[in-house]
Amino acid sequence: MDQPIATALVGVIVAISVTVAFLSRKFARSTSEFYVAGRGINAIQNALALSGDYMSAASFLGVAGLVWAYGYDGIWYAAGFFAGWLVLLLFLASPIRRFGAYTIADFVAGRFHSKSLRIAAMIGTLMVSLFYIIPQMVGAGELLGLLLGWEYIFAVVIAGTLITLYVVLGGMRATTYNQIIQCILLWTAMFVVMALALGKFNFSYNTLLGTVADYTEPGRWLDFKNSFALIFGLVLGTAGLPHILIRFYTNPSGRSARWTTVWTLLIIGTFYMMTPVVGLAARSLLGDTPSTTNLVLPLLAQHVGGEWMIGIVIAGAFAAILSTVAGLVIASTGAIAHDLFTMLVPGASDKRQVLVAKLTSVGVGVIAILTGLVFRGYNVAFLVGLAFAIAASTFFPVLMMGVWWKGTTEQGALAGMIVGMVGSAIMIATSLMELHTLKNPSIITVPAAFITIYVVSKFVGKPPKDTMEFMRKVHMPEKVHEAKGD
Amino acid sequence: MSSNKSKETERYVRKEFRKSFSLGIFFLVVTLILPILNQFAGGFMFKKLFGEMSVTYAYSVLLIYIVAWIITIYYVIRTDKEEEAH
Repeated sequence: MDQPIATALVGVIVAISVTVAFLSRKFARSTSEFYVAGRGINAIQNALALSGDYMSAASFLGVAGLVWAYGYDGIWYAAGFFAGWLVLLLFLASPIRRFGAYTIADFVAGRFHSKSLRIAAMIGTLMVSLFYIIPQMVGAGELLGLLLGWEYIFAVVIAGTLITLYVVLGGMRATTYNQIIQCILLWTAMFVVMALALGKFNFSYNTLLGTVADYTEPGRWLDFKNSFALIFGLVLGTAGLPHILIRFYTNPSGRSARWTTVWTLLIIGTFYMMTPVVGLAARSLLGDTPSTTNLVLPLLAQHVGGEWMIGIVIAGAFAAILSTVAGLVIASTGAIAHDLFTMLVPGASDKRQVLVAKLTSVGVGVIAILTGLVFRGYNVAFLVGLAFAIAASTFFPVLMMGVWWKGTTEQGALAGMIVGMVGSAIMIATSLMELHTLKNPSIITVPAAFITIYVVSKFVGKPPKDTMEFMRKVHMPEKVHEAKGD
Repeated sequence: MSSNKSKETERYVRKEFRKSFSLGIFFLVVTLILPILNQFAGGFMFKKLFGEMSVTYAYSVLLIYIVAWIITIYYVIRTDKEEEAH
């Protein structure tokens, strides 16, 4: 397809992203600025940035496509992606912010004073981030190639270079401002397509449902066991995604981190509520026309709004990819340049750490581009599922137990992380080999990790001596610390 | 840490956990019971609720979101008030 409007809009996004990065460059001169934007991002800004970070191409194109293909069974994804945020709010948002570090490895290492846990958390962060980056880059290449006629390699290189440029130039602050703009763009694109599509049914949801009645009941794709396992994995996976968790460090306080989650739930909730409407409207208006699920939204946009609408949707998809990959590049950079480097070279100056962070971002950007090229044509949904399953199994249990149970020991935490990480990888690999039919392993590996942490902690090692200091730091309100001189 | 501070922290953490855990479990039940109801109470779940919209459809595209928002607002306002009062 030749899409001059879409090409122009993608060009505008590129120009805005580079300008924001250029204007933010003076802020990326200290580690605090580079990783957490000086902890000066307010709740609404952070909610918009988090929403942009979270709503990847899988959310923007994938969910509507799945609803088009499988009807009700695709809606599980929308509900699961959304519901995980409440778990994050209730159990982890404030404590993570109050700890006030840069990475998830900082958090677990700070709780248990353990190098082994820092290394395990670093490996987990890199695994989750990498499995999340690959489908975004593959998506960028395929989408821009198919819709704009760009060469696959060219599209992947452009997307990877742009993201790397603005992370290196402006660090977390540039990434945040770009994610805010990208979030507004992709939410608006989804809203306009939904409104135009509903217009074809006289703005009656009921009329729309009447035209696709067969698609509003479950069972076209997932059986009972896999529906349950999928929603379980998505709900807990969200609360273990490193690139999402580290954004809470950018808030000024624990209270601000809570309000960030409230606004995020509103933004992404309204977004995911629109996706079934769009998917079912595509089923009704396009029938079996789209050749793949990823093309459903652009084709519906073209059907209801012509060339301008498809342009806006392609620009929205591009924005979704940029915002998510930028968040993942920052998370991966933190894992290498902060967690590993500061362990190997303790006492390195702040200036040197920023330099290492920027060089690492370039390295991660190159890896993102290379993986995008190597994994061309790979099953994208599988990789996203893998990232969620590993995140839910590796990080969620150890963070929950570390934050809420004072009896957790270093050995218990480490054993739980290893069981979660290795167990989910094995379960996914054996599922691919068709040794079992469970598509999402979290329903087994998350409870296994929790049980492991509990049992090992009961019998091996002792909780760190300063556990109560840690508990006080992450749970008590900031003003108590100030008043009582903690 | 002094024993007073330690006890105060323990009490506070327990209270916070009770609140988060009860709300979290309630929401997880609301979410995870949906596939169970579809499987074992299909007759009720596939009944039309409003026009063409079945109970299960309304549950998955409306109810889960509304319950989550209500819990969110309740939790955040209550926690803010408790922190103010502490």
